Amino acid sequence: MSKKDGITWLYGELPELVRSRVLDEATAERLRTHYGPAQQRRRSPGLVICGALGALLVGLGIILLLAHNWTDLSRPQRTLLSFAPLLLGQAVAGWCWLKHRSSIAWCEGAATFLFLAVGASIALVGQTYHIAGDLPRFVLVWMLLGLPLVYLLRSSLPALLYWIGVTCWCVLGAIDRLPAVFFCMLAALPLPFWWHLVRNAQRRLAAAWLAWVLSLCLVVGLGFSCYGFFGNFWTPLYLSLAAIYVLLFGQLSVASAVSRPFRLLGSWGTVALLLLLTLKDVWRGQAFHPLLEPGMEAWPQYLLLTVLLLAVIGLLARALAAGRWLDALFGLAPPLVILQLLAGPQRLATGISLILANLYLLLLGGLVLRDGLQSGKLPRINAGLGILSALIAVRFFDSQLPFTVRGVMFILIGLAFLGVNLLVKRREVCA
Amino acid sequence: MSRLLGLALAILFLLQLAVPASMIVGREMTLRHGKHFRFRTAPVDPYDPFRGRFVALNLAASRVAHPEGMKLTIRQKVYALLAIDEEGFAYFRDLVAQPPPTGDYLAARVSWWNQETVDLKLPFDRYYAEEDLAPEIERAYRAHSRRDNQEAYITVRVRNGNGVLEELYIEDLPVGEYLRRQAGKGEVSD
Repeated sequence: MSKKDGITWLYGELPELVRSRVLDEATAERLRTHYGPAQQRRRSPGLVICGALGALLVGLGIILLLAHNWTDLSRPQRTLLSFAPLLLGQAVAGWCWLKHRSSIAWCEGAATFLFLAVGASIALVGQTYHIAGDLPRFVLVWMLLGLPLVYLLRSSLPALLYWIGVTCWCVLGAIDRLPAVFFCMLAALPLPFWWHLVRNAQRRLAAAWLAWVLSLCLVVGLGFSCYGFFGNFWTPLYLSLAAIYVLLFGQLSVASAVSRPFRLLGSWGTVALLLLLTLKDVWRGQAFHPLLEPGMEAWPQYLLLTVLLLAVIGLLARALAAGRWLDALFGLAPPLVILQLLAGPQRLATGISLILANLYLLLLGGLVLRDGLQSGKLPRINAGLGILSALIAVRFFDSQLPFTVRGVMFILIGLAFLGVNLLVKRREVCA
Repeated sequence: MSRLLGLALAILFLLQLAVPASMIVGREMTLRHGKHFRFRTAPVDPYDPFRGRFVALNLAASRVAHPEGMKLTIRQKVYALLAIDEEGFAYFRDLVAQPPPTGDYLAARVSWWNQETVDLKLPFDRYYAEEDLAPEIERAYRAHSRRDNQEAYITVRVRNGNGVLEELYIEDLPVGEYLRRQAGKGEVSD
């Protein structure tokens, strides 16, 4: 018996020993203080991962086996076979719910297998009856039939598969001219489950994986939700999403593993978009696709943009009130760009927009660098240098500016860099 | 709470079973009681990762004359009125916006149109075949879908506007039977 097991055993015996007066309550309490709290048996994440991955592989294997399309089987046999994976998955899920509801490994495995079995069954019926290809509808029905498993069996892998699935639906549906703007509502369905994991700091690995998948799926889905009007909306939409990622997950007190994907995507997304906005051709393109051009036909897209923008403004106000200046700078970009777009090249010359975008990035990079130097955080120093280097690289290859202007600009920025370095060094020597 | 969750799980299981079941019932009814039609085809061979290999069907009948004054939108549901030509193959004689009270018709969706013609997305656009057989079927079809040698067609059952593909034929033989005979001929000549 290990020491940990021995302590657990002893604590189990103490009430009986006190009751039979072998020990008094004070001695029992002293024993508890001496040995400290009994360590609870740690759940092995390896077991959960193996269970979920095993079910995923078996489910995918069944899909591939059925996809072979066995010609020798008659139609009634194939019809019966269509239900086999589904019934097997339901039996395993039902048994797991009755007997092993508290086991994460069992629930993850059973729910994942059933999730895939639903898709396999529908696909096999489609194959048997040569049903016309309607991949978006097939994916949507599959995802909606699998989603309740996330809540009923409290399993995270089906949530992850669901988010990937609805993003596929959004991409396929947008190309097929389906109302892909409903992606946001579909993507929101597993959010309460994920938020419960994040809030209660449960299953941190699963919560972090879900955070990565959600943050990426939202990026893809948002673009395809506005597929037909993308030319008009891409800058404000993506800047707003990036700002929400940075501001919201800077203000929420959640595990860093959960906030990291959102903060990373949000901050680097903002930088990448602003870098694009320092190019003349991009502003010219925006002039061809004015924000107000789509009219009433695009009301869902306008609604989406309004909701995102209001969220950005609300979060920006909170960030300013809390004195989070650096985060606030990320949040300022979407409203400013929308104002620039609404003003148009007639009221605000493209040259001024370009200078403003350059200055904005310069300020952002400089402030991130300064923040990194003050706090001594190397990743932040690198991020600041990265932003400035990216801006410099884009300008170096910018064929819109004459060589002489670029040359003078580079010498000035280089001198500024050297000056800052000297200043920092001198300050260090003085200290 | 536990009972309620159990009930929810049971309802979910029933729903999961109901979706494939409803797909099967509707198509079985059409296959058993539907009227028989033949359509000329022109397949290629793509790959569907979920449902295995299939031969994509491009039906000559899917292009219909644009009815005068009919306003269309993309993916709009329309009803194609069925008729038989002198060679016994089906074609669409007209398009209407509402299901007709009499006569045979097929529900379809508009995929593209211009002033003269409308392209329809029909409920049968693919023939699923065993993984190894699909390329052979495609080769056989290509050999029988030239202008001078059009001997490939599909049979379809139609009932209440729903159409279900029954079989792909080459030289008046079901494609499986045709491939078996070809393989037999190959062995004899070897």
